[in-house]
Amino acid sequence: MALIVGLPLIFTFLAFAQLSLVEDARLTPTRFIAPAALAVCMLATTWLLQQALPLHDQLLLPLITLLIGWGMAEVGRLAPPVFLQRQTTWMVLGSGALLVVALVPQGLQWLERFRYTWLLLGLSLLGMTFFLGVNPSGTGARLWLGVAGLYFQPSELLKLLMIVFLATYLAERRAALLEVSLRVHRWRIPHPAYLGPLLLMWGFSIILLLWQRDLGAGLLFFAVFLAMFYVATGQGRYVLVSLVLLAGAGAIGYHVFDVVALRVDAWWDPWREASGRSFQIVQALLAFASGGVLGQGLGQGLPSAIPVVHTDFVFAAVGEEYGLIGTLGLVISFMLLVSRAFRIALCCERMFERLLAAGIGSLFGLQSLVIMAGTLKLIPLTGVTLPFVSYGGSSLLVSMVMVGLLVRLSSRPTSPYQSSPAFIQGG
Amino acid sequence: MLLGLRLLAVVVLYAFLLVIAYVIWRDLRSVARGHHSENVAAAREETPLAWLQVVNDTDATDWPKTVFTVVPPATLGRASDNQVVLQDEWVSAYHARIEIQAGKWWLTDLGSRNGTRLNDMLIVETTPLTKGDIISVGRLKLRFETGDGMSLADPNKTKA
Amino acid sequence: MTTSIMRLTGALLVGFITVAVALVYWQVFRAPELVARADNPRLIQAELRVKRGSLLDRTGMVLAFSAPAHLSDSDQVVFRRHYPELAAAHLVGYYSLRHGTGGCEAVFDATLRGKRTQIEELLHRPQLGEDVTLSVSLAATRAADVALGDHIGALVALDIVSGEILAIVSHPSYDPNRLDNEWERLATDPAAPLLNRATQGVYPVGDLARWIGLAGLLSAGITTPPNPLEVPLEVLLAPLSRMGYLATAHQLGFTKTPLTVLPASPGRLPNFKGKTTERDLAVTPLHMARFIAAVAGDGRMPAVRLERTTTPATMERIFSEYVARTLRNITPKHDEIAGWLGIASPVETGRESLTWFVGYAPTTYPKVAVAVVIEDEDDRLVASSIAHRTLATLLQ
Repeated sequence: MALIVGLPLIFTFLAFAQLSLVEDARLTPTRFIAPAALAVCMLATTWLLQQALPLHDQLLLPLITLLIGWGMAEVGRLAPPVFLQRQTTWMVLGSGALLVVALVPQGLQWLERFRYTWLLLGLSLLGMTFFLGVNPSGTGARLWLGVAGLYFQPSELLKLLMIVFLATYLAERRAALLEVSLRVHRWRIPHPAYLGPLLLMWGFSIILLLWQRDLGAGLLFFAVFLAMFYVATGQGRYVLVSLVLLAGAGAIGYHVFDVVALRVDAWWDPWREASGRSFQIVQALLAFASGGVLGQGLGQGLPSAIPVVHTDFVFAAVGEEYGLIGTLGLVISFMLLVSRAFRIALCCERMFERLLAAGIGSLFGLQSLVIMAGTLKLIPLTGVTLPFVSYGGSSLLVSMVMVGLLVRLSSRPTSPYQSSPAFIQGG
Repeated sequence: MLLGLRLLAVVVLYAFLLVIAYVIWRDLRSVARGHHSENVAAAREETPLAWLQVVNDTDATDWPKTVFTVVPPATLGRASDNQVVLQDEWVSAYHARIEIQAGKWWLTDLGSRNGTRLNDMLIVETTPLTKGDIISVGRLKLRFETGDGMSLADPNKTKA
Repeated sequence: MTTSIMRLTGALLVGFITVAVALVYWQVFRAPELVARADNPRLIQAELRVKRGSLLDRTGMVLAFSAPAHLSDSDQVVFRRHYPELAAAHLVGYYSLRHGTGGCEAVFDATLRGKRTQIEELLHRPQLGEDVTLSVSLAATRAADVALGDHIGALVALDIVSGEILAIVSHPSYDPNRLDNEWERLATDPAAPLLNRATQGVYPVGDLARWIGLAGLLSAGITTPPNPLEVPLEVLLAPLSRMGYLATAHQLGFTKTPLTVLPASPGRLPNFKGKTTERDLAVTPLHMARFIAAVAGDGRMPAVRLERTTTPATMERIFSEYVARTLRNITPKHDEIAGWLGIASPVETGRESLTWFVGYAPTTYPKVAVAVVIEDEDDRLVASSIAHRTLATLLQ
């Protein structure tokens, strides 16, 4: 079973071999350092988890191995070598973090107990970017904190801490939210005393993010919040009301913020200003079209025509060089990963664990959907990364930590001996 | 050469996705056939095997001395959908679980707020239970008793 | 709770399926249209990798070829176009990423670029074009180029039987190797070096109106004076009405563009308003060359061709053999070359005089027709000497 992880590793090695043949016209050994590091990390992680948590979900690691390996190949293709080195470093750190989170004793109570601490930590890190924030590329939004040559983006960490906080809060107050309600005309709304702190915390982080013009992350927070609230309460109407409010906020944002107006205009009719404000999205669509069904082959297309292709537009680069075959494979992989997370949520016994798994699943699903649909001109473009695939160390690290949590959640508190097939979760 | 590599990559990618799909399908099938729940049902019909007796030695509560039967797997807690409902405010809604695995009885704390003790030791992980053990949840002490129906704990039956 | 998780999963899966549908839409259905968009940077990349075929003169001399070059910022092999023969600039044309193609580079673009099969495209094989052998004679072109020298004007030489273009030279000229660097200057230069005067320059016929009129008179069966070259033009043309003159111009093909593939202009008919006369009919040198080719070729005018060929041209009969023979008989001859000299005065040109020489050679069994026009020149011997030197090279 553990051998499933071998296939994505082979895929990664093939990608780097192709890259080496195209760019150096021969197989250069140094090209294979990054995939070898991935293979070592993933095989070791798989083996250790197999030993310690024999009942964990066996599909999570192979799936993220495919995504990370593919992403590393794209970073090696699209960005200077130092970017691949950094991405590999973060991947190694991420594997360690994944293991630590999955193997920490006593379940996940440490997350639950100190929820306000975690949230405040996240918010204060984000707050620090106001004063100490830098941008590794020199100009642009200063969303990073730099330590010893590695740059970290607190908003990525905040995503995880937010999910943890929401999961604990909603798990604890679920009954109250459902039962204690106020009547306003014919509407029953949750009592402000219970809903209040939640909305406050959430609003606070959204404002912090919007303040920094990180619209993508802001939107994502909102959507994940809605998803978790829906899972906890099962009340579709709150979601509807919130979506209406979001549309309203979008309409206001369109008139107030230039950034929003630009994004919406570029989405609505990109061809009008194909060489101007909609340059990015038009170039992305041209890349998809150029890929066609079979793709140009890694290293043989021209995805570098798209600005910042290695982060936000990596999906378009896959589209050009792997074609429809590749992009559909990528979409299916994300589908499987997300459905796996929700499967784990269904099998969890405790409310907190269910909400945590569902929250992580929602985040992976929504984040990948937002950026994939954005590059395909289905929705206005917002700058978020494609989880695991895009270049971005903080995103990769935090995503791997989340997978660590999923691994932990998928593994029932173990008895030393279990005989049922390993991939079956408790029913 | 390059085209070969590209084709190979596509083949590997889809082979991988197919393997995953196959695993998921097997997983779903086994859930649909209800291996797990069938076992539980069978176990329930055959054998009420254990019971818990409230053995509080303090007068902290005026809890009536009661015996709860335990049909594995059983959860203990305050919520009404537990098998063993313990109306004590120090007990969490879903507090602990007792089950049979590989022919042995096991006690698991379900992340309760105040913890579960076995013979006055706070348990962290799933811990084996033996006849006569004292389980403490909230302010309650429960003595774990099994009958002779331990024949159920035949590993072949739980495996299936 | 289970229901809400299932519903959320379902919603996300619907999202992923929508993305998949969008992928199919963009990568399959809209792909051909987007790939062909002019602002697609891939087109330039693909263009740079095409190894175009060479353009050769009728003897196989190279007029244009592609050679590999290296871009400074990458190690991809790209191709650059080179033009070793500046004399043939206007006929050969140019190939530029920024300014497109011109001349024969444009006419034979499809052959020069070549095509790739689907498999070759999948394999990223280089696209190889085929060579094209033009009808032009490099030797004659060089001779004409030297003969034209610093004069502003143009020369065109035609094979009377096959309709092949043997030489086209237009001055001032340009260097197609340096087109991208000099485009601004070339495009704004008042002397219009990019203009191919042989096919696009429309010049008043001046004295040559006499020969057009004679063709009209003879075709209409009107008796001409015994000394048609001596009587004044008005007297000669009097029996032919203005309408008859215009009909003749039309019959001689002056109102059409003489060839459709190269940039070429139709002639301009006089409107007879104010002082305009028959002499104000304006045509290109190519029109004139075809006219005299018909005179030399017994009244049949050949269709113009640029490619070396062995098949005879499609001929258009524009007047009878009798008319052609009569015109040939009165055409002045000198050194095995027959031809008409003419000057268009400042009255017609609106500026300096210009000189025509339109002729054919050899005088018996004619093979080549030639037309030369020189701007700002009233020495009629200049044009004829240029024609003589070119024909001498051609008939060697």
